[in-house]
Amino acid sequence: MPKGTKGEPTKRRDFLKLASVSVPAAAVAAAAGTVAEAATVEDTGEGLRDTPHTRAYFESARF
Amino acid sequence: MARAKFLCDAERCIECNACVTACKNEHEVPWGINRRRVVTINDGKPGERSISVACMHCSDAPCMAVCPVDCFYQTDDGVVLHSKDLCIGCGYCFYACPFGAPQFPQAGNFGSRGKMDKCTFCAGGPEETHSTAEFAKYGRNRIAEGKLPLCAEMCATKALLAGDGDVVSGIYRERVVARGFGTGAWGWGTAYGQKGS
Repeated sequence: MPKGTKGEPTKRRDFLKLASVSVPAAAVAAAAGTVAEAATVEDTGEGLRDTPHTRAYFESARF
Repeated sequence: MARAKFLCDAERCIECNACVTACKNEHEVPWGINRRRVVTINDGKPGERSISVACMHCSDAPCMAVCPVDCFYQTDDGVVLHSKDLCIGCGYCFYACPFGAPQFPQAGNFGSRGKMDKCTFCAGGPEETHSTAEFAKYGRNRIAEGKLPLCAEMCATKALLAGDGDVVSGIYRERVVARGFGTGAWGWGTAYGQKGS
């Protein structure tokens, strides 16, 4: 077996291990980020305020 | 502090009147009253422009200044609202308004007028928020729901902008920069002598 291919099975396993751990971790991090953002955006009161709805509108107007 | 503002981009308005229709439908505005309308200048000629006009919620509102029964008030966001319980339908506000925003239903024969009606920036009125009385007199209170005026939200070309004045002017500024010289705000040609641009 050539020297270069010797460590390949190990690399592949490492990659799969890393993928199995990192994908759920990334999903959790993304979800946590969304919650945190929503919490900062949503203001209380009845007046004009910054909400996800208004942000979506302003984003749609930027073209 | 947010300051509620409307801004109509005359370069984008295509006179579709969707804002007019949306407003009437959302607030169930009675027949004969238009809180918003589209005005076209130089219709059918080069340089034709359309702008969607309603109450502009002036900082120093002339309607407030002339009202003999003082039925107007301004919210913390700068939205000019009025009380239909106090309004006597005298029409002074109509004469004072530079945009022709106040509207009057024909209450009876001989030209008698009913209570004034105008754009509320979808912010309701002095009645209890989301109450039946508020909806019947002033329409839906979208601002209390965390939304913005429907006319602007559903504008297909996003010609009509509404919301916090700082954000709205920022969006408009980006457009002017992208479009380049001469195709900016309505009135540019008048101010700078660049006709038809």
